[in-house]
Amino acid sequence: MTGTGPRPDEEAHLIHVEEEKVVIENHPEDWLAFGLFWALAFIVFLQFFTRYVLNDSLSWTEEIARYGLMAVVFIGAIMVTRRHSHISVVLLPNLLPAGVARVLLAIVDLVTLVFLALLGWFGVLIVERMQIQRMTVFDVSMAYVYGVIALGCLLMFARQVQRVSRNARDLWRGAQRDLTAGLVIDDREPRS
Amino acid sequence: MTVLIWVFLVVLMAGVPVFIALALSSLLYTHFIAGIPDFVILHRMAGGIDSFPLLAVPFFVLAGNLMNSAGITNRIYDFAAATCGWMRGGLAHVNVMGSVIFAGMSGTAIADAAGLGTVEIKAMKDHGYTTEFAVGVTAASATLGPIIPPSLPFVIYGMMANVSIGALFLGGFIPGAVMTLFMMLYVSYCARKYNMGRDQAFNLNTLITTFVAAIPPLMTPAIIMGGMTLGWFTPTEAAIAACAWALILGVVLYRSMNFKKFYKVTLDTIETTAGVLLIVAAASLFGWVLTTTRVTEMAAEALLSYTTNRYLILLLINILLLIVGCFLEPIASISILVPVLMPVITKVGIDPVHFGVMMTLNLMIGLLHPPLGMVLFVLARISRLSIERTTMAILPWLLPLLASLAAVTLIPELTLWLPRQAGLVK
Repeated sequence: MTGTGPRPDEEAHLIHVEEEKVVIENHPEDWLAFGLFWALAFIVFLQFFTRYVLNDSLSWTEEIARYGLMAVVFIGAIMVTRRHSHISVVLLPNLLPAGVARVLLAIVDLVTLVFLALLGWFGVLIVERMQIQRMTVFDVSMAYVYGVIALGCLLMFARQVQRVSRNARDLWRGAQRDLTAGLVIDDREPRS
Repeated sequence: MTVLIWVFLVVLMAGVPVFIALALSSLLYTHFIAGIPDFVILHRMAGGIDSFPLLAVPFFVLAGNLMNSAGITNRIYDFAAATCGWMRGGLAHVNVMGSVIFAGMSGTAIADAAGLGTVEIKAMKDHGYTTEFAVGVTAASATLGPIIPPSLPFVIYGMMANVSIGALFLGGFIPGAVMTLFMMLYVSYCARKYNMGRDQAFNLNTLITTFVAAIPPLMTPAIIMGGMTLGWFTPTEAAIAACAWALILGVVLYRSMNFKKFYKVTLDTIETTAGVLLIVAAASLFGWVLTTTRVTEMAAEALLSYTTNRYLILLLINILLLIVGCFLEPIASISILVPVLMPVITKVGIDPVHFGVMMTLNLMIGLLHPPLGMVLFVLARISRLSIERTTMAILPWLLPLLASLAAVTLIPELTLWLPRQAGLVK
């Protein structure tokens, strides 16, 4: 266990990083989130700019930025659901034998499915009740803000339906393999 | 109420997304106990992220992602190598130094471990270090990310505990330095023990040239820290300024940014933001349920009836957090536990800024722990070591980290001195 001492030929770059190749997938919800995100960035920048450079911050920027953040989170959540990257505790599926783990994964997927359906339905209910509520800075109905949130919840549900139907086809075998992909379970060299 | 908490724990441990576990148990409360219309839970969730300070989250993530390009990373590594490469165990020191600098740009530990870890571990193996040693130092130094500002956990803690985020950022500075010092001491100890060599000779000219080349990237942490210390920027504004600078670097100065990359960086930022803030949203709903049902109050009373000694309480909370930290992602733990722990903290007179830094550091250590430290899994995948061997590789590094935790817990001044100088804490 030793460092091998000076190597004059590599002196300038002990560590060197290569540029990664970028692969892009096209999904409508991603483009929507992309647009919303940069609209939000523009509004926050506008607030910053008017406050520092013009010494008079635009009063509407703060409220609209808050709504923008809510929109980015709920629309972005569709992508998170599609990529299956919601933060969760993945302890039991790793510890349990493969068969039991698959049952557990199926249950988790179904609970998620049912809950997202409920959330979408709540979203629609809220939009109906928000018709009369107006924003503070503009005379615009809050139903639009909650409409975006409801859309996010409904499309999260749609992506979850896709996931469940895909996983149901092989009875969650693929999902169980994905969990342990790349992990070396025993101490032998990986067969790759 | 106990039923709700059990439902929450069971659903959470089964592996349902954290935000759903939180919202689902809250729904049981509104539906069966309180008799409030069900859609209120979504309304409360949306309200939980209806906050201006939270806008710092997407923009700190974006700044970190924009800075994560080969051109910028290599300049920083060259500088770190010129600074520390000449010491015994050189690349391990470079690894720690690199993490310190990258920590000043990005707010998360897992991202640091995944992105830079691959490169660092490969470089160390190429130079004859064992994989175990490389994995250990990479894992340990990744915990610096959220302690040295900017830091997402600090933003979330600040919002949850109603504490100045600027004070937390400044508060993390000296604890970060203490951790760096302890880790470098440990590297030096290993270097002696295993008789490791130097990886390159010291050269003042190289040091100067690499430093000059690294100045533009180093401006990013300087803008964030300097702007906030001097009171020019709020955290959100510092984040926006850092993004603007990072874009100038990528588009104008280094021309490493193209539309494809820009699109990908944006989507990754949205993914992190949405994942984290959904939990914050659901946790604020859950926190509301815990408060209205007086669970938090009862928990505080139960603990305080047992002891009011603040050191004992800090010890108990630290143990609790170390356990929670190995199962649950740090930001999720913060959003869930802060409402529960805050009453206790204020009652025994612990400063909330001090507590925030201690809590975050503790939860970062949890990321390395078996059975579930997320950094542990990430590094096991990268390094192709089994979980068992990764665990054994990381275990000795808990020593400098736990020593830092003890120092930060027992000496509040480490955290509080700097924010006090800036007038952010009384």
